[in-house]
Amino acid sequence: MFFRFEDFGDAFQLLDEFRREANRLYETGGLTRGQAASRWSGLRLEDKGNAFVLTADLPGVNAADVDVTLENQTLTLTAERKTPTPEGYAVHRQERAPFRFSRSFSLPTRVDAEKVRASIDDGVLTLTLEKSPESRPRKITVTKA
Amino acid sequence: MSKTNGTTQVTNVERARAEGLEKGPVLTPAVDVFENDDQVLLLADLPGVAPDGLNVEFDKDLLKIEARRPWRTPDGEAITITYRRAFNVSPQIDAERVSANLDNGVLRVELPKHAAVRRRRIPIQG
Repeated sequence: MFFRFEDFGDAFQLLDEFRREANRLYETGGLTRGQAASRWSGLRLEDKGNAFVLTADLPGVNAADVDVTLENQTLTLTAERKTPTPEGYAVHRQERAPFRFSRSFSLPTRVDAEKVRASIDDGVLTLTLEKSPESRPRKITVTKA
Repeated sequence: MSKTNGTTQVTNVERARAEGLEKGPVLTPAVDVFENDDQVLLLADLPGVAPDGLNVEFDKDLLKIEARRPWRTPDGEAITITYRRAFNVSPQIDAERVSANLDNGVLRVELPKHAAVRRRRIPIQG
């Protein structure tokens, strides 16, 4: 016999379902679970002046399951997570989607390949790509002629 | 039943109020819920949540999860993303032995069943 294990509160349950669905549509661009797996999009790429910083939500992904390559100005990020049912357990709910994706970014300037740092902390991947010296913003002093 | 309803109403009001006042979105995390003969196992995706930003409560038959994640909008404004979810759980859970840990953005809550309600194999004699 299954235990009762339900979202709490009927009215709010409906709201939760709606919100989760809205979040999912927003995150996946309206794709189904299987399609979304190849188009995961919890990514942001920011220009911080001296460096580009890429962050990606990858809960439950170990460092070994992430692959980052840099070729010229193209950055490629590949990651995979599996969400298997643990052995011997029955399923009540399974919302945590597995994914496998590979995305490439064309960086607008050259970066220093030797100084790329990557780390996963609390399920968030952070990549810091320092720009080449000639690509960094420079302040030009204006002098009176 | 009436007791549960009382709790439900108060908590929902608090929750609605909290959602109205908080700066930043309230998101519903994706969860997996599994069960075997010994326990119920819950996994929730909480990316960017540090252990000190997480609150898991188990009271009678209600499991509440609330987590906070610092976030910076593209404009540079510091906000908090709140992940919140609550579940009605069967009262046959042994509250003393409920355990939770957070690893790499995934919360794992183990809810062991009381020994008295566990499924047992009955040996056939004869």
